[in-house]
Amino acid sequence: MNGFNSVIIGTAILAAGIFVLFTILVLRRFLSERNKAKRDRRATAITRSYLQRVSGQRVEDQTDWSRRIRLDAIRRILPLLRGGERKRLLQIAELDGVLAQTIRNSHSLYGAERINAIHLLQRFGSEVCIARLRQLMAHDKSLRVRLEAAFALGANGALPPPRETLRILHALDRAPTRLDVALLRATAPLYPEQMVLLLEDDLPGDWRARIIDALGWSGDMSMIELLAGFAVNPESEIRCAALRAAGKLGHPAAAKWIVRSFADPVAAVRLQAIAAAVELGLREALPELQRLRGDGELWVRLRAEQALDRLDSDDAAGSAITDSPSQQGVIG
Amino acid sequence: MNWLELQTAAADAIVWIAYACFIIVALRNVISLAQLLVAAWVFATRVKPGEGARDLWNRYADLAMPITVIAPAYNEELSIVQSVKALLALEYPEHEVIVVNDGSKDDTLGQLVRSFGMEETSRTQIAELQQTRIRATYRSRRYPNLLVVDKENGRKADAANAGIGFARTPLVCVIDADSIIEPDGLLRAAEPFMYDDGRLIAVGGAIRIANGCTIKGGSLQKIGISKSLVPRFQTVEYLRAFLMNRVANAHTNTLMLISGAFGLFRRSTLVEMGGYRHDTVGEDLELVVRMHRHMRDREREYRMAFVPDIVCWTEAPAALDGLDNQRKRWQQGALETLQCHRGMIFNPRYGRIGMLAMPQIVLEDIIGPPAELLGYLVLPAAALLGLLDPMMALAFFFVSVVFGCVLSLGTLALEEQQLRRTPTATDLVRIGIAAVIENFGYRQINLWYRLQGIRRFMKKDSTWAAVPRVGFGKG
Amino acid sequence: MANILIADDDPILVEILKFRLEGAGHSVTVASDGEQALEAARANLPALVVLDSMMPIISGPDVLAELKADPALRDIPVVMLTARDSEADIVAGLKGGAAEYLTKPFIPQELLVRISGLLGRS
Repeated sequence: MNGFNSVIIGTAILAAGIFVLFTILVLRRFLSERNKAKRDRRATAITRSYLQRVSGQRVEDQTDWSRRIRLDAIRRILPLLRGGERKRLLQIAELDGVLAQTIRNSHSLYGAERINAIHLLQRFGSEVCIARLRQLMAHDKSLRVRLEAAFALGANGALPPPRETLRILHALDRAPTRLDVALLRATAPLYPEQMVLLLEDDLPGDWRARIIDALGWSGDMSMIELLAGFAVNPESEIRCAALRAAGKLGHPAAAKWIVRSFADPVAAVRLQAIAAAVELGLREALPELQRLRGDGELWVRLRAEQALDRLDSDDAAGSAITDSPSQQGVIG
Repeated sequence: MNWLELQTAAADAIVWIAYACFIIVALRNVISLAQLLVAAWVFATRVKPGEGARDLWNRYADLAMPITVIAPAYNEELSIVQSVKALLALEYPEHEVIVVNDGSKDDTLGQLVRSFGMEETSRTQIAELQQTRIRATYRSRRYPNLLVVDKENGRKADAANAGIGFARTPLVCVIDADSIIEPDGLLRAAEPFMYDDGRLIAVGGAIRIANGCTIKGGSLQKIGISKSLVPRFQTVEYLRAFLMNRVANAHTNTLMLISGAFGLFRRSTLVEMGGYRHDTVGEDLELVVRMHRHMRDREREYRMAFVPDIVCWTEAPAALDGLDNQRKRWQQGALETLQCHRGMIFNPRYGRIGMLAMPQIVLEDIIGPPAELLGYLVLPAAALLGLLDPMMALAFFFVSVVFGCVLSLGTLALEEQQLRRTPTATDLVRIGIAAVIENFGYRQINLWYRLQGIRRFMKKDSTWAAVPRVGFGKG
Repeated sequence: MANILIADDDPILVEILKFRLEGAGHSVTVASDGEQALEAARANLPALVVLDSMMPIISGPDVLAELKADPALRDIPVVMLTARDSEADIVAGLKGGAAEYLTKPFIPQELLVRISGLLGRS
């Protein structure tokens, strides 16, 4: 028995192994195709029984549907329904123990399985789910799972206070991503005061800018005054964030300092001011925008041009391209 | 004595060649097997696209970086209108479509102007990356996110460059005019940018073969499997390239190719690099290699990502006639790129790109194909002459052909386990059969084409200028 | 009350629609692909068609086009159901002659109100 023999035998064993694996997969697919009709019938029956219960009819519930089968059916119903009916359906499913199965899955050893469970918990959105999601966000050992739990909580408007979110996600040790920005924005309407308090902490500059940006999504018009202060901050990134937040809040009180920012020495700030002016529909900014068409910076000229188009035409239907590379630096 | 000495020397040479071929082929396959295992690991631990992040993303749509889709078009009058409609309808919060008419000889421009109500406009080009003259730009009132650029004929690289120069968004997506993008392809490809902290500069995505699929109105209606063998073989090849190589390479941070049929890039990086090169037939490979070089020369931190979900479908050559030209071109392109960037090979300055990824291309594209073909001749011959253990010739057959089956079937199994985009069990069996018989004949024919590509490169044959610019990225 | 044709390949969605429509006293015919949908439309002349845009064999928009091209079927109101809610799709659907456009996920109550509105009109 020499080396070549073992190469041949090794390769042959490997080939046989792969062949068996492939055959199993084909068989699995074949069986799943053959059982599709049966599965569909069962899912349809489960659907009907749930719909009947939602509309208040009494039905004899068949007990031979296991939680797993019910869960599969629910998974297929959810993307189709919206509104009150969906909510009631989920409540009934929760009583059937479908949720219990999901919660069990959320304890799985596999991160991917836990994340699947998180997506379902997010859809159920009941108190039990939120509690479990909070647990996962706070204690899961995988950052990815914690992040997914945070997204799910964000989608349900149930994020913890901003300081805790940042701590759990080890946020301040790394550069912020766009999804971090999304999380902060989802936090802002829940805890506007805490967001403001957070700004007094010793924060990395890019995070401070993101938090100011998020204030724009708080829906709290008293923020305008605070933002006016940031609009004259020595850091250009902070000024940009203040302008973006003001644009989002859309309160005319900001008009004066938005127009003033047209003369900012940093091009990125001028670009942001133009965008904010468009958001607010500031027709009084038209003469200033005309002047910016002769700006020294190409991007500013282009955006001023587009802004004039948008403010002139009545259908300001988000068609113009409003982003620019200089904005990248701000959002991340 | 002299004669005998010569005989011994010849015998020695044959034995040495045989051993070299054996080792090269075995090494190539061992690397592929390692890649398959890495890919399997990546897939097993991968998080499927989640709704939580999607939901946040939808709510704050301005966080999705706007994308400009750049579609260079040359003589596409029959399909261009449908393709552009499909591109305009792509699911994405904010995207612009720039069609670059690359001096078409047919009525491509006229079709666009009439169908979309385009009017001439004077759009400022932000960076002039093309070498040919821009004739005009057109806009439409009805489709505000469509721009048509009409220019003199160049090559695809030149047309793409012209489009990149007109883009105003932070991201650009360069495609072929005949690429069929999945409705949510842009969304999926842009997803890595949502998790990015500013280092990500390029994203590639999985591409599949559209032959046999039902295509209507520029979009894919139903996935199917081609009736003839050559496209089926290519389906397997594409699976190997995208599910095995790219996924593994992206995981180890050594992604070396983003296909010309679909690639998402940071606009600023492309502009800084001057866009695609005009003087190579492998501009997509060259771009990514130069991107690594560019970033590493400037000691900047950067990242490239790969999305294993299908983003795009592309029509592959339906027969060997047509495939040969494509493969020769790919081979020539790879050699041109290696020649141009040979300074990176085994250069520790370029880190894992110089030490691992570039040598791997050398092994895969320069010495691999001739070594395998030579091995098919030399090993049996040497065994017959009694110079070698006949077991070695048999082992060579196992290492090349049988191992090839393992890799193809293994990738197919990975696909079925993870993505499941084969329509039915029967189709799965069909592709499975193709994955096995591919190794008996098709594989060798391909090596032969590659050899011809090498010859063409040596002769600095300039016939590529006449090659119709079919825009398939390298599988 | 009225005979309604549901053309959709997702049995769950069909069940939800059927439950609602039958609950409101309508009779329901089901087709699971575009071809069947056209056949059923020609055979039964339904009072209204609920059409899914993504269907095997013949896609929703194509079925719609065929219905609108047939003088006998032209006046049947069509409600299109789609997973995509892109503006371009909706506009194309309405231009193609769909009376209403609903995106998934939908509110069943809303669908019912729209359908009774359409039936009342015709």
